[in-house]
Amino acid sequence: MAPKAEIHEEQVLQAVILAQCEQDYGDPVTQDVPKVLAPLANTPLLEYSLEWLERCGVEEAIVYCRADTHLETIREHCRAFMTRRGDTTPATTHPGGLRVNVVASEDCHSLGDAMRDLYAKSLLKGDFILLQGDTVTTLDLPALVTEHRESRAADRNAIMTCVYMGEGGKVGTTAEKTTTATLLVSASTNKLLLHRRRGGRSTSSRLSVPTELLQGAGDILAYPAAYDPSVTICSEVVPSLFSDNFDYSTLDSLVRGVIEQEELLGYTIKCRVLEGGYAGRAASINSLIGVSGEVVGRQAYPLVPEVSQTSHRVRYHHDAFTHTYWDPSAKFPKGSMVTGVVVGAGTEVSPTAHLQNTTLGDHCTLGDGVVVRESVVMTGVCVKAASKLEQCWVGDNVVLGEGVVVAPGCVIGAGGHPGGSRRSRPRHQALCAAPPW
Amino acid sequence: MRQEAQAIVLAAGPGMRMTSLTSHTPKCLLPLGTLPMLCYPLHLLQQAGFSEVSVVVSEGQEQRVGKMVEQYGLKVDLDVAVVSTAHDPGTADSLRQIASKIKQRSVEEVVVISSDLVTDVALQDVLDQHRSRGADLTMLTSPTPSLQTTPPGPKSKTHLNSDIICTEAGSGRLVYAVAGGDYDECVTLQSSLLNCAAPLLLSASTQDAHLYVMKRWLFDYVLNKESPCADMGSLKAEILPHIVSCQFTDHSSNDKLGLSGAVEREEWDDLVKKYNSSVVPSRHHSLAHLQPPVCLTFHHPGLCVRANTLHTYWHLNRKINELFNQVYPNSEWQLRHPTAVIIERAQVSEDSVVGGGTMVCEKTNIASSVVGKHCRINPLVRLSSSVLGDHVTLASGCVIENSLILASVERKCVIKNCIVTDSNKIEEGKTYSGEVLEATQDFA
Repeated sequence: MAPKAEIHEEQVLQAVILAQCEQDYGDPVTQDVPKVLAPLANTPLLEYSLEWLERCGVEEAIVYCRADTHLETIREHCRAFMTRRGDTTPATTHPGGLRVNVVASEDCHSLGDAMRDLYAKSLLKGDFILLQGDTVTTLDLPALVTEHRESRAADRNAIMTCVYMGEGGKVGTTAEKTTTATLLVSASTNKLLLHRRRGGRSTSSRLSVPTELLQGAGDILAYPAAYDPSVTICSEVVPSLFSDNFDYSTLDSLVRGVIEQEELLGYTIKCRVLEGGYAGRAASINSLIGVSGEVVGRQAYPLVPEVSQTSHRVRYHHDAFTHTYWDPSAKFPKGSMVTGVVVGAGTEVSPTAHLQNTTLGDHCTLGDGVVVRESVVMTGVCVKAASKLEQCWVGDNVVLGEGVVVAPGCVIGAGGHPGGSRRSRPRHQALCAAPPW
Repeated sequence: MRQEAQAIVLAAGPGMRMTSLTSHTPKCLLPLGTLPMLCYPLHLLQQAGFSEVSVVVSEGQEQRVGKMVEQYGLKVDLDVAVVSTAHDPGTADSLRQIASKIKQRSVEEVVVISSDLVTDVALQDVLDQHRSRGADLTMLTSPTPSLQTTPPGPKSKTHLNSDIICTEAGSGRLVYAVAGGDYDECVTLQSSLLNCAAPLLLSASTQDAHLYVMKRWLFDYVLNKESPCADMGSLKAEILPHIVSCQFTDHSSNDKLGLSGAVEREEWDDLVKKYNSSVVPSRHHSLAHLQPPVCLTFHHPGLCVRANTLHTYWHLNRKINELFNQVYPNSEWQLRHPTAVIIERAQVSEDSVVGGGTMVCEKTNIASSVVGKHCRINPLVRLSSSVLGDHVTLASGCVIENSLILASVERKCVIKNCIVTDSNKIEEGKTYSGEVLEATQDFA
């Protein structure tokens, strides 16, 4: 979809992906691999966003990250993304494809810092799409941008369009407290009147609606729990607002500030609550597992596990009946005991294992009678017989002894060797960089 | 044989917002386009198929109300119940006084209408929705009418706050209602309400039309002396918000009867919930955890006006000739009554309404006005944009403009933007503008 040509210049559609700015997974996961490159259904997270942006016809994506050890990895990855198109037929309509620009800064600790830096470097030329690095989305971004531009043309003060998912889109398992918000939106103009994060510091969940809002704005739609996928369409005013106010560190604070100072500054924020479409945010380990389950369940079509996002080739076989994806070289029981699973290359799963809603990386070995439910397992993991894993994240090259029971929420770092017959405490993180225990 | 529904019309109201008009006539009998106001809800019920209606009136009015059926050609039987207005009862109090009369019948639903409602809604649709969605309470709502006509009388600054009604967007379920005047700066929605997680539509431009369809057990609960509703006087302002909030929390204290204790459900209700696979949305489909009572709204986008303030009453009267067929369909009542005598040299405009038995003499000019029954308009009278009540005589040579005349004008004068309810206040040859000419009380 080519962008609309303005009177003087062509507007380049830009997107900003914020990597590593908020809510990290924590060390066991990110010691080797940055959060945005953590695999989700055996594909790096960043890949989903870049691929989708390219399909939407976005011309330039700026990946903003902190200048630490992982910066080179991210740069390398983005370079590989841009050059991969050389040997595949591009599925995009725009001939140039997506240009990925990695911008890093040492002081970036929040979204606010990133925005200020980008504003100082004058890299943003107009309206842009703002995504968090861990969002997996298949929303119709060009349509949202067009709507944003139209509302901006009608009212110059509408500086931002927030996108939320209503009831029909996604609610339930992975909707954590930090990613849902209570919203009040004017029914006629889609203006955001009130925004409050649920489950934050305020314990009372009563909603007080000032009646003057009702008298003035007409009918109001109240969304008690709208899911926030961290997709926002911003205009060029937004980075300048961030640089004017050093208090604004997150998008929430900007939203609150703009609403409170509406009389002073005159800016308004529009809000779109979508009923259809998919957007999920893998902000924490639990939601990573949840979003992984949804992608495996093909909710993020056309970003499906069996097509590798890097090479656009079908890498896995797919059984729609049991929702299983497996590499041709993997050996595992193809029956009803294995559902909703992604099995990587060279992995061997014993015939008596039960697998449910998990992702197994390459070269794993699962022994007899192993039960794995709703977990993410990385490469080279060896799980000996009779172990149980539930809702956990297991790093590379971990060897789990016999009869190990891993409680929900645990994270086992790479290289660990939890010995036989031990039960781990719930949400226990085992960091293992050193030799076996 | 169980009767399906019982209709109750509340006509005992004193008309607190139009006191200048209601000093002589009770509010329900005020003329609205040559018919008393009470005829409109009765006709509405008649259209929906009711053959019997209970009417609650204040003392002294039962004769007049009782005769209305023959006088105006209505085909319903009226069961008139009298309440005493000694202590200013609210709508619920007056219902409690006549509770015995209602309980004798065994019905499934009770329809409660206020006597000042003028609307073109098809009541049958409201009842159908109530039954098919399994609601325990259905409230008729409509967009608040915007009134363009200016009423006569002194300019008053009374600005009534509008009702605030909050419904679940899409299903129309009522989750919060508060009457105008009962809230100040903010409206608080409880967390139990917000847990239903569906988008809610909060509206201040929708009015509660005071037409309620209630299930029988809910009606008994409201009238029960043991329930928390026993202290509440007004149906719209107190009892309705209480019932609506009971959908989410049960306000039962130790000595009062809780709502959940009073609910009557059919025996097979749980079975239906379990095995229900129908595609038609009903109360078994709701996302939220439903506790009884189930309150729904029926939103009617058409005409729906409550004639309980001077402004709305005036607006209805002025527009009645356009709206008559909408709100009073299938009737033989004509706005230009056949027994009205209009002498040839009188000029009566097309959109004027003339009641039965009225005599309009020659050389008069009547434009866009409503003239009641048995009036006499003497020659050389100019009447424009005004409303006349019944039995009003206008003396020769009067000029009357944009006024509401409920008593005879016996002397020649000019009246503009006034309300006249007492003949004695009119003096010969004077010009009255923007006043209310009514009988003041003597304290002798």
